[in-house]
Amino acid sequence: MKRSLWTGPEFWVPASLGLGGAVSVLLVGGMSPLAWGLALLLGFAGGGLGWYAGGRNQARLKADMATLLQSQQQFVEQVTPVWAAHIETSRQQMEDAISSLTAHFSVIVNRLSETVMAAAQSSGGAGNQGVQMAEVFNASQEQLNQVLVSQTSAMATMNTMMTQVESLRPFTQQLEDMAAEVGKIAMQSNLLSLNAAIEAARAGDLGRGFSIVAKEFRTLANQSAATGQRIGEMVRQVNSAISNTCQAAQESVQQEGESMQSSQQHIDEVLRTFRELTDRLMTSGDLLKNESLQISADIGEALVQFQFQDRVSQILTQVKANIEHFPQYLDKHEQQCLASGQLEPWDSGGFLAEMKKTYVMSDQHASHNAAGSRAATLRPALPAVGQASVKASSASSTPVSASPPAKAADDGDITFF
Amino acid sequence: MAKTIMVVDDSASIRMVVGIALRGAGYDVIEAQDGKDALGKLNGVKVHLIISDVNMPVMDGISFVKAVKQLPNYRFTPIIMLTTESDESKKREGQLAGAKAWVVKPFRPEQMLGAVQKLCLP
Repeated sequence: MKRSLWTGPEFWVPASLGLGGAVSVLLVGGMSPLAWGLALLLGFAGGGLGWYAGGRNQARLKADMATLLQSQQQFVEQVTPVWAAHIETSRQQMEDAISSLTAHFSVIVNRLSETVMAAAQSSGGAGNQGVQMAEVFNASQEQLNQVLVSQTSAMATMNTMMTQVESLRPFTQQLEDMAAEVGKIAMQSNLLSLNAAIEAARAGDLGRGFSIVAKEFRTLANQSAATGQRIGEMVRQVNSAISNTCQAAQESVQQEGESMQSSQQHIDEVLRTFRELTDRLMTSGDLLKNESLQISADIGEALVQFQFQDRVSQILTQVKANIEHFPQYLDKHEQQCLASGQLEPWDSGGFLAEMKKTYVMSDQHASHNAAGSRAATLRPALPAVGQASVKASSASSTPVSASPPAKAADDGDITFF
Repeated sequence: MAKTIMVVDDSASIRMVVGIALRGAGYDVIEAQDGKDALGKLNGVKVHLIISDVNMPVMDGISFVKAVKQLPNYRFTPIIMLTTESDESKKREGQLAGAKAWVVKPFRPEQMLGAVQKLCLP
């Protein structure tokens, strides 16, 4: 606001009054020396008074300007650190929260990874889980069937043994017949020895020796008869034992057969249950695997989104730095005003240009340009600035492109050198 | 034996995100919060690859890369710059400093792993 000493009403009002009075005195008093002297006196008095009032007013304006600039500087110096502190607090809190969230997600990812890996190892690899289950089922079925085969084989062996034992029955009958034959021979031998003894007695002394032989022969016949009886008894006992054995074996085979049938049913039931279990396990295994993959993908996406914290943090840090720089800018502006003795316009263009130098992301440039364009569009609608004649912001002369705010990339951009 | 990768970033969350991706792929990870911290941790440790941010306090990424290239043991260690910056002049600056790749945040873990596997040769 450049104001000359001569241009303000503080000068011109008394000066005009003095001049008007001088003219009036000349008109009323004519061109007499006295009238000229009085007119000159009035003119000088008006001019001097105007000069004095103008100078005083200018000094007051300068003092007001200095006070204004100083209060403005104090205001900014007091307010901007608070803004910066709030931004820094928000940035720090966001960073802490995101770091904590990331740490929790990290734990989840690790646990999920360990679980999936453990499941894969226990099933011999996630991809082979179905094959492994089928192999286990087939092996179990084969082993259980092998038990049945062994049981059947044992039964066949027992049947063979029973048949063989049964085949002994005719031999025992023959032995019994032979024992009876021995008994008959003994009886006949006894009769023969009796006849021999009779004939020996009839022969007298000559038959005495023969009588002894006949007696011995009869003793032998009696012994043979007893032996035959014992053989017969033994054969009957053996026959009875064979019969009992065959009966026991037959009962055992029957029981084995029933047992094997029951075993077959149980094995079938176990295999059916096992098949259902393996089917369910395979289904749940596939489900678990798919769910794990989906969760991993979701967490991966969340981790990508967390990286925006870094971008936001950088933007806030840059905004904070610019706010902190603002008092310096105002101080410089104050010095310019004091040096020139007038209110200088704020150079927003220079400030914005300095801001642009600190940008590191395309988002920041895009936001800056979009905001600049919006400001340029809105500017004609703003109320006109008064006689303070602050220069139009040089931001309006800064070439800004009306590009929309940059859409944050959700995909990595990789350049290899 | 697992290969070791150093991740240098002032953002703890970014270090964690990169760490999750790398550890999940079987790499060992050393973390540092700025260039100076990273240089201190490099001290004699075998590192197969370095991933570094650009804008960091204390020592920025470009200065860190230049410093690493001065170290005899790490002169040939490949370095990936991981940053929000996508400006071509900045990329060129990174390339001249000695970086082998430039990855713009945010990245997908599989893309980062692809870059790591490409540069982290046996």
